[in-house]
Amino acid sequence: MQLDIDTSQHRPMRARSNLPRNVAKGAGWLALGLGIAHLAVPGAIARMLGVRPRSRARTIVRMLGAGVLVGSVLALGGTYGAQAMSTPRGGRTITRAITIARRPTDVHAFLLASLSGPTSLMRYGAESFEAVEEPSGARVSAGLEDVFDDTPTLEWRMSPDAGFEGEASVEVRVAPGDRGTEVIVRLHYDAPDLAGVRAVRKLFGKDPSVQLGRGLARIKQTLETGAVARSDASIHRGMHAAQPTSIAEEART
Amino acid sequence: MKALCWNGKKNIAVEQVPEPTILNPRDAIVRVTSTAICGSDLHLYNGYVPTMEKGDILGHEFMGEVVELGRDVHNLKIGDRVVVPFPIACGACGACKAERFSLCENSNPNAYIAEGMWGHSPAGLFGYSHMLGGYAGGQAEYVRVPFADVGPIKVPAGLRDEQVLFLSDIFPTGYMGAEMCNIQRGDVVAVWGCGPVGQFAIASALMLGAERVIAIDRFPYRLAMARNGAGATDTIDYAQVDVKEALLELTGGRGPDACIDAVGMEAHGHGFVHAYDTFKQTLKLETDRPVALREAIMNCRNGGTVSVIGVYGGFIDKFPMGSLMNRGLTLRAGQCDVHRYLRPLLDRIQRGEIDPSFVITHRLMLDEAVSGYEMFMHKQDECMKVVMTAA
Repeated sequence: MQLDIDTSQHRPMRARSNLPRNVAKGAGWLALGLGIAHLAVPGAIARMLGVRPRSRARTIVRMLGAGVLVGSVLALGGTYGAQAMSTPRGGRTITRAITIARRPTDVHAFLLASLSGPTSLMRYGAESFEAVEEPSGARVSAGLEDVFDDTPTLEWRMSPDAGFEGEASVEVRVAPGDRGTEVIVRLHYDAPDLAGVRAVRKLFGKDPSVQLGRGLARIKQTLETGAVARSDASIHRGMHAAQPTSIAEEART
Repeated sequence: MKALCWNGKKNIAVEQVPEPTILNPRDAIVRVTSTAICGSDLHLYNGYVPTMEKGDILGHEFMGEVVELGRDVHNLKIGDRVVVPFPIACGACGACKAERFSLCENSNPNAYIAEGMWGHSPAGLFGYSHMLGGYAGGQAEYVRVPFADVGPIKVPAGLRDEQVLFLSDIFPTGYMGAEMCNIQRGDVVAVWGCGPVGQFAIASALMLGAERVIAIDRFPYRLAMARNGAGATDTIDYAQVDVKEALLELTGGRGPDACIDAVGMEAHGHGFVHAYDTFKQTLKLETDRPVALREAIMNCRNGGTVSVIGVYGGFIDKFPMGSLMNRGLTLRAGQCDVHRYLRPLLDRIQRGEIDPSFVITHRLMLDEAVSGYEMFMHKQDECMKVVMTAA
């Protein structure tokens, strides 16, 4: 039986103001300009401040300019880095999708029975020692409340006491060409991080986007093959040689 | 048990390691009776493949006897002789259902690493880095085989190990390389690289109806095997003659209808091109040396097909995209979907159409694996293919 999914009933996420972010960006650009000016024309800046443009004064102005410049770069990097992965309303949205060779009704029923929130999705099938890092160090699932649990789209919303705002949804839809079911997960949280930090976290598999993808992959493996794929190395915490595990080592893990 | 372990670039050793155990209900444990060194193993040996860890067990061409079964494996029994395909495939995902077993969506637990490198992840492989799963390989006494109800094929009585071992990789790989050429009556096929995979590509192109097959290499003994063993109709020693001139002469000025790159990322070249690629590779500005691939593209006839079965890992420089696009070439590539070819090629072996053991030149014990790699790497003693037994 095909699952009749009516996406027109999907409730849009609440819009939020961009004012704080725009103010931060404006201040960043202003600081950048001031920093450059301090470095380029320290004598003129000194005169504007009512100080004779002697050598010491120029040096101090240049030092001030360098400090302002560094601050402006960091500020702009933070605001634009977060915006690179954000919706127009701010924050960060992660979208991951996977196709599962099973009927939509089977997939939906499985997800309803298995998931209590996005962290449970990320954690699905992971070994007990595998750390799952929630965005900004806060437990995304702890404050999530069910919004729907009886429609094709599963949704969760951060409760007011969680400390920041966020929503998550899991959409289940028919895949084209008898491929089965497409599962699309959207996780939004209003806790931007620097683009550089995100890149490092991705490298070590700690990025929520990576962990979301891994959780989806494990769900797909479970539904399609009956078990999560495990290799001689992947069953261990951290990197391990691709060789069988000794009994002693197995006892330790 | 004994196993050949990778401990760093050009640093391998036979060591004592734990024996494998069943991890998933669809696993089987196979006692390895024969295993081979593949040209792809040399990329690991030479440190070209990332995400290797000290202690990784190598080997993806192996066969043996089933000694233990997971509870959900019902098509095999203890004592069966099996050949195991080198890609690990679940049989249930979209890729497997389309018989693209080398692209299995479920067999790589470290798919996120491969996604970062290649966009999407292919199947997990035995003994071929953590990016491709972190599975222990088969150059060992025992090996755990995931999805044992999908991969291994039972070997009929009356066939020696040496006749069927290469069903695990190089015979189907060569065959798929030829099949991707879409060979028509009267076609001329050129094969770059007369290593074991190239030998099977030559033999397969003839099986599939090529009128002429031109083998290209620089080692006389390999060209001799291509002609006498695989059946090549023509050979080109590129150290002696200009490849382009020779191909134009052999094809009446058209160029080959199809070109097979059975060389891959560690291509040997000469002159400025080789120096350029080697220099860039040393500076980590280029991960692979595409000498053979460039030649195959530039020499293929207009509208022809270039089939790539040589292994590449990363990024290449000076790729002749203009030649490919403006002359309407078809480029096909891939790791072999071995499972698809096991039964048809086993049937050919049983009918006597081919004896794959013709490529074997050296037989060693597993304890001699280190010297085997050295010999294979440097083509000492006219080495073509090294087969090892564990006991």
